[in-house]
Amino acid sequence: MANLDLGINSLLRGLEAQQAGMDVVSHNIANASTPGYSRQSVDLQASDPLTYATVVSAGAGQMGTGVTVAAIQRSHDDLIQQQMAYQNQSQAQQQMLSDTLGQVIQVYNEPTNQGFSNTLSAFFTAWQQLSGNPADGPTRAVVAERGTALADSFNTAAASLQTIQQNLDTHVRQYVSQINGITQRIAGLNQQITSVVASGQQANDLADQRDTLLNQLSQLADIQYTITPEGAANVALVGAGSLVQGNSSFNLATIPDATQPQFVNVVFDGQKAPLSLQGGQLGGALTARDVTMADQLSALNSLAKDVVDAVNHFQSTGYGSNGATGISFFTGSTAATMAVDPRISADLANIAASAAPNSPGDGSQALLIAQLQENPAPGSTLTLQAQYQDIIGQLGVDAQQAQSNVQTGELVLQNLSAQQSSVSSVSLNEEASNLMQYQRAYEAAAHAITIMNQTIGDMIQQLGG
Amino acid sequence: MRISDQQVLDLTQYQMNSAYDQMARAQTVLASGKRINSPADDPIGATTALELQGNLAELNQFSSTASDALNWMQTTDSAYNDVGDVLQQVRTLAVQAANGTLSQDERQAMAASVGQLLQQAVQSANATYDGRYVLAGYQTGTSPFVVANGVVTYHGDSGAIQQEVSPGQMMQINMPGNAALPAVFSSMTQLQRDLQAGNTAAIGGADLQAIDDAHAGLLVAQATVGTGTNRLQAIQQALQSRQNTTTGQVSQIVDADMAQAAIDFSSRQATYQAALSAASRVIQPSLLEFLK
Repeated sequence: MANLDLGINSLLRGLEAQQAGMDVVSHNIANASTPGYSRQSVDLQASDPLTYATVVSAGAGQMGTGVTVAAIQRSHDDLIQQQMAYQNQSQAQQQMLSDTLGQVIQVYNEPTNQGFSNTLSAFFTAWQQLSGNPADGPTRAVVAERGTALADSFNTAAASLQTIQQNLDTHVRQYVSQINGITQRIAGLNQQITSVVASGQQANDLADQRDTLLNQLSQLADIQYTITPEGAANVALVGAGSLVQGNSSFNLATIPDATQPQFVNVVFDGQKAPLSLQGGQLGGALTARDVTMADQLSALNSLAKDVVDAVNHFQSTGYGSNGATGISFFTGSTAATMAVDPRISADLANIAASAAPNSPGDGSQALLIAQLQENPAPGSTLTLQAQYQDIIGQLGVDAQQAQSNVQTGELVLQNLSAQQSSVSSVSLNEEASNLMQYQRAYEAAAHAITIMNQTIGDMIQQLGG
Repeated sequence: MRISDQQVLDLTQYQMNSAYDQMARAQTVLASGKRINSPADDPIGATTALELQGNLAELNQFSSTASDALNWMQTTDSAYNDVGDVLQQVRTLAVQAANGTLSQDERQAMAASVGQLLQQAVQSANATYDGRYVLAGYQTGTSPFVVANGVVTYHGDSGAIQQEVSPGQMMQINMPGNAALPAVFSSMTQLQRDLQAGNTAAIGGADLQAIDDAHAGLLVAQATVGTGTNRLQAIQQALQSRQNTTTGQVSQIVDADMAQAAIDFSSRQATYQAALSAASRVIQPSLLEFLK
């Protein structure tokens, strides 16, 4: 009777193994579109054989006992995952730079007929008109009005650039809190995974969840991670320190900058030393805020100051139609603070068009200001228009470069993601054929059990009969 | 290579997105009619366009300045012409009076005519353009010549109004009346006095000489203004031609070749539609559908 037992047991194992196979296929199909899911497969293995001894032969060998499920494994390539993490952080940084520059381009709105350049031209054109008709009240009013329009343009541009900078700062705070959320979850998953691994099992789905989190984290910041033999992922922030170590995570925090308290620095919670971060959305936002936008603002401020200084240089040494002299045209020394001197707005006769007092027909001082359109301001080598063109030209080159980096990066990411999909993602065709295979084997095993059952039944009947 | 369903979907999505992006860019060019819609499209082209647009605004302004200056100079020219015409009439009277056959009454009447002609000359010399006195130097708000008791005084100054009429080209557009006109008016005043006094010798001698000298001075002033006017007209033409050239250059840099843009758009649209159609076919039933 040992023989019949053995057969039924083998078939039973077979049923269970095929059932496990079908369960894994179902799990795969159910997760066919789950982000970060790695397809799983059943490793079937022949179960431990019995040394066979019968009445016929003592040395016949070993008798198979059927099949067992050795492992359920996920298909995963950690090298591709690591490459993706690296590419993610660099891509997120470039994207941040490209988006920021795109916003700056919208602020300047060039080349159009409504751009900054036009306002600047219109201002100098008004002075040119005044030089031809220096005593004319309406012409003076146009000069003052165009001056106000120019100052407004500077004010608006400065405010828009500052808003972009302030938004980047808000992003920094948000990214820090997202990073903290993710590292806490990774530490939690580490704990679960290590305890599964310690019990000799594969923590496939938990590892997928953790990989997805690592992927998200690598978009936020430049990270490096290693998987320990115990199954934990230790994550480090490049150039800063450890974010996750085993079951512990270390939070980041934001503290106001010492010199610019409207902006925050990123630190490790409880510490004071600002971290210098480059990659990911966080590093990208910090660089965009502290370098890109700071440079943009300083270029705009420098242009504003040059306009104010150059116009005032000639305006304050000339004479108004009322004989007044020494009155500046613009006040302020930055793009945000630039304004037409209230004394000009209060009395247009204060606009100094003449080089000498009591010369209503003399527009030579107005002409000197109009000529700033084509001549460099005193002490400068570039005209104001050329300085502005430099700002736009540099902006265009930088934005073009950033866009092209983003496009290249997208292609690289697309390739990496295709490689990863090729290894890890579910193919429904494949699952369907696996399902068929398991189903047929299951059917065969079930059928064999029926036959076995019949055989035993017949035997019992004949013995009993 | 093993192909998973996700991979096919990702690739399809990526291709559709990039085809859509390219179509949208082509559409922007077609809709705006501009090849450069942001400095990032062509940084060098964008800055060149900015510079040229700046030049164009400047040229437009110079053109309007030059035309204003031309009107001013033409007003100046006709003021000097009018004064010259009056001086000719005065000279004719002086020649008549010099031959000594006139009675004193006739000379008195002639003196009155000279007085009227003097008034007329002063009126011509006080010519204005756009409410500004063109012969007054910088004192454009003040009537430059005033007659009192037959004597003309100058209330302007010798201010030379310089205007930039073309990039970097300065030009004096006025000719203050104090250079040539005091001699004209004083010759008339003197003639009037000598007529009244019956001083025929002086009329035929010093007075006639003074009139001729004044006329010579007037001709110099007129010639200067005339030369300036001609120069200004030439400058205006040059400005016009530079405006046309610059407009063409800006258009060449910024404007899209519409035929090319339309072809680009159609071809990008075709690519996008092909990507869509490929996507609809690639997301097909799997083997599962056939396992019935």
